[in-house]
Amino acid sequence: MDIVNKIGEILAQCPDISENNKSTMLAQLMELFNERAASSSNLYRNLESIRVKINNTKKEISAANAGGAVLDAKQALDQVVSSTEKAADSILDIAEDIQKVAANIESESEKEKLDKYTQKIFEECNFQDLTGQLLQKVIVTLQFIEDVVGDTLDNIDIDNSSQSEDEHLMNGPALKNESSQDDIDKMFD
Amino acid sequence: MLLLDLCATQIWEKFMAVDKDMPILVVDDFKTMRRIVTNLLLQLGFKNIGDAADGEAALECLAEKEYKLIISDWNMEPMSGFELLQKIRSSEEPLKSIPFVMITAESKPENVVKAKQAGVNNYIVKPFNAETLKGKLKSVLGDF
Repeated sequence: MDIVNKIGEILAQCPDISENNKSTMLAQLMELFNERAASSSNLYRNLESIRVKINNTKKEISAANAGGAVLDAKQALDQVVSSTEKAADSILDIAEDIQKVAANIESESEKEKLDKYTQKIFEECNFQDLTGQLLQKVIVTLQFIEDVVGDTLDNIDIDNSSQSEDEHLMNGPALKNESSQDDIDKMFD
Repeated sequence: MLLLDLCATQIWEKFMAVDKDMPILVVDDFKTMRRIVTNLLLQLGFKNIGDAADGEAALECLAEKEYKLIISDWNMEPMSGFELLQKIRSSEEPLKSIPFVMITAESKPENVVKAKQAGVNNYIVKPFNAETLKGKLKSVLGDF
């Protein structure tokens, strides 16, 4: 009712506005205010649900972590990058060992076959680099979302009547406008 | 006259043949990728391959040894492949003219154009295969 009284005080200072009009204006302002308040409440609830989801995910990640340490999303994804790097390194070790064996094979055709197979293994290990780069983008985005949601909720807590607008909550890895190798080759022809 | 032409052609081809002992520098912040590129280069017959984890480390390598080809990723810290390219192209000879091939997941057309304008000799998009690497190296170095 504070706001109603405040608006009433302001309107009282406008002698040129009739009482009927003052009542209408007050009713319209209250309607607008209630709509904004409901919208603000919705925003608060949505952001709060995002924060709860992030916190629950962190708990699930730490539960899944064999070491039992509490991990946030960044640490968990860093661990994935590290694990895939170790796996790729092991695969490359084996491929290099195969190459050493192939070097001692007398049959040229068998040697060539083994070279082709090891070449294929090297090519397939590209996955680790791409996985790592994409995961790093996801990590940065998740961290950004967590920070912005946290800040926004804090601001709403301090002043429930104000509305925070964040236009850039989601800024995921961009996969649009990608060129194929053929498109790029044309630029060099 | 025909025999002379044949001899001249063979001499010319030998002169222009790609030296597989040429020092090549592979630059990528992912160790796995450095190993992949190095192994593929070894399979292509190149023997003298060095590596660096980012643009700054690459510049240190280039100060110590005269490399004849650089194969570099784009996204690296603290110095990216693009920044490395810019530094090299604004250096003195022979560093300035060193062939530079970018191997990167950056495939946006504006980035390719940017790299080309900065003086990159060729551009390979990840994931790539050995055939593509061979083809691009041939276009930069000559047939081998």
